Amino acid sequence: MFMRFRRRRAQPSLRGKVLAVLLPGLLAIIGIELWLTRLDAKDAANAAFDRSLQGTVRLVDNSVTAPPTGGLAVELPYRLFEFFQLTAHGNVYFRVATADGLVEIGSPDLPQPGEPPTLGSMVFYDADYFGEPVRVAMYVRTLDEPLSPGTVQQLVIQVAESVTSRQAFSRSFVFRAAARDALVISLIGSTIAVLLTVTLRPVSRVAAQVSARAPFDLQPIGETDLPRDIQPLVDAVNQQLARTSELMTRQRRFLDDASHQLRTPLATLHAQVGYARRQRDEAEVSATLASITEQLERATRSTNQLLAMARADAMHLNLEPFDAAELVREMATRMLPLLRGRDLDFGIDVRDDERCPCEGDRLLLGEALGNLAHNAVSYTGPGGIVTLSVAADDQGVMLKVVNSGPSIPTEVMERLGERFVKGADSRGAGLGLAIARRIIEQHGGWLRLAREDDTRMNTAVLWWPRQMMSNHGKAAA
Amino acid sequence: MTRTQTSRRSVARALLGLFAAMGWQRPGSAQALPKAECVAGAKAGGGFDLTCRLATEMLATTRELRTTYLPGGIGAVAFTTFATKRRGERASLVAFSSGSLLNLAQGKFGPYTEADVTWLAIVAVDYGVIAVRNDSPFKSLADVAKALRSDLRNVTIGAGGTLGSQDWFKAALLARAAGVNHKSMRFVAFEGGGDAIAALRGGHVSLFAGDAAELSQFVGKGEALRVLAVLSKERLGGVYANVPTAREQGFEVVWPIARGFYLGPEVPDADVRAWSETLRQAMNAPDYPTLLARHGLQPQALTGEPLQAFIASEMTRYRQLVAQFQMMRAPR
Repeated sequence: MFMRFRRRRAQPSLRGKVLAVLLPGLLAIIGIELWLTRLDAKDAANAAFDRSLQGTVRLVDNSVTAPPTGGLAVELPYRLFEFFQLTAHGNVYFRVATADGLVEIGSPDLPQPGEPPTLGSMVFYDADYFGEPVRVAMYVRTLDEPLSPGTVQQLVIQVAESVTSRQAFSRSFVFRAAARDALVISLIGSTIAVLLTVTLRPVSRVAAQVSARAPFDLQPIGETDLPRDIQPLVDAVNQQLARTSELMTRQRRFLDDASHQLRTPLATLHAQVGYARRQRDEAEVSATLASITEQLERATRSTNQLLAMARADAMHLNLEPFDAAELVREMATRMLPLLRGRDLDFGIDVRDDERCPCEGDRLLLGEALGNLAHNAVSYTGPGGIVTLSVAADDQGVMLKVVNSGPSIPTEVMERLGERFVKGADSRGAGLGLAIARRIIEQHGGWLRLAREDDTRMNTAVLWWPRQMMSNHGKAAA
Repeated sequence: MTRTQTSRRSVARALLGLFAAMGWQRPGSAQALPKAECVAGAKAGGGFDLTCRLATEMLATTRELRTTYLPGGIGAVAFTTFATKRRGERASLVAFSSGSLLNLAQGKFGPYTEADVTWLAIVAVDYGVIAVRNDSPFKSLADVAKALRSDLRNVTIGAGGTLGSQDWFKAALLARAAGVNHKSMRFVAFEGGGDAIAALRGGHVSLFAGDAAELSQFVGKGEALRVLAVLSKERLGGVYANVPTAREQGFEVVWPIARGFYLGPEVPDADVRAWSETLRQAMNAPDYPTLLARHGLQPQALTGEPLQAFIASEMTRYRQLVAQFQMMRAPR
């Protein structure tokens, strides 16, 4: 359990991974966005509140009058401020003064700007007034008339407003943006989580299906609505399943073959031995023993073939370069004992010094050729002809066995090479051709059986390519 | 709203006074009286306005005196105007107070000094007062001092004239007596006591530093103001009879304000003498103390040489005071 737990920790789920990357990324983006929003909100608040502050300065300016008797009079702007404060929710301070300080009304110690405004223009600046952060608008203009000769003619108007309300404004703006972003990010996060769950549901379903299977159920996984990204994995698993299934089929087939091939001769032998023991006649015993011997030889060959077949099925090709011409010559030599006492024209269409280099499993190919040759000899009656030959070109190598035996019915011919299908008068087990075919197919080639009507000959051809298909090569390696 | 009505009312009252003064004189006099002008160097409702109204009443039988307002820097514009382009106007009295001398001592009247006008007379003396609105938490100077000590910013002081004005000095002296730095007072300047009182009544400032006379019309008539202290040596009479002095409350702040008139520097000596004589006679009138009391003022009569000596000594005293408070003006 501990190990499993640790493995889970080390390999988080796809959903976890996506969210782990996505959410911090989104948070970072939103953080930057909020920071910019804050700046924007501050600018916007300043722009809006500055405009109102500017309006107030103008109104204060309007309340500065020159009475007909002279001098400079300022209507107290408090009523104006009362109105202004309704919207500003903060304190408002003012100062109206001449640049030389001759006249000074309002808060005389309002903070001064770093850079005084040029005549007729207005500057806005942030300052601190008695510990209270304020925004100040300052306006300087020329008086219509000098107050008295020799005095400076500039009028300075300052209005300061505590920034509480504009800070509250931008703060609430940012808060709203943050709330909105939090909503968006949670929506995105949950959407992605849901999306991934939905997308990965077929995978979970496949996993559930597979783990719920019977131990020997090797059916391919039949899920079709899988995401395209997952499909290759399932395909690979299915391929593996198919291979395993094929292997198991072959093992089962071997067992079937073995029981089929061994049970009958063993039963026959059992009967014959019993019969022999009951005989008193020497000659009858001897004849039965000869029959038993023959039966044993057949059973032995059958067993060998069965094993060869199983070996071929196991697909362990031992590829090596060899001389196909030499194989045919050797086969002819091996066939000689079988020909003894039989009136057959057996020959090979290969010169003694001919060479045909090629590549393949020499042993198995020899077995295949041997089976064909053995069949040809077996089915060709006295006076018949059996000829082995070899041919090769750039593409492939061909081993050919021709015999003049009786024609084989087409329906049988078409099925020859399948297991236990044999000619009507066959004494074999019907495995020889199946083995040959299996072996040559393992080499990426084919077995062709044909009746050539013009020459009245049966032809069996083994052909395999020089360049074996890569998967066979790999399987061999 | 209240404030606006009040400010209108005070203007109306001033105008009424003006018309009354004119219309009141005309039927009683066989021939038209010589016309003259009293210049108040601030807006209506302050000390200068009050001085001019006093003069109007003083000279009711000798001059048809009309008050004109020349606001700007609490007398600064008036002073520079009479020191320059109106130097020789014989029929124009200009109201001044000790505050004008204090401003002169600080160089706040431009390049001009006390030698640039002709000092005519001092006709009364006024005293500083400290007042709050009725709903103020301050019941005494001690409360104010406590608030100033805890946080200067809690107290907004409104007064006629800016930093260094005589009203400011009252607040500064009070702050100093309370043991806090006068430089960090939250101070709002107005064009004369009238506007400052209006601001106090409107609740825009929490404390008013001004003069007894200009405030007297708002005291004891069910007005919404409370006078915390008078800045005189002894208690004042009339409406202020129940107001304790600052000294009584442990704050050694005494602030008298002499009130009087000056003339342009080029007014011929004969006219100066005539004005001087006229005023002296008016001050000698038997009902003059009553008149002063009605305006919340105390008697002080100076003309001629004693006046010049007083001006000189006051200027010296104020220059010392200003140096003490480091108030020499640096224009900004």
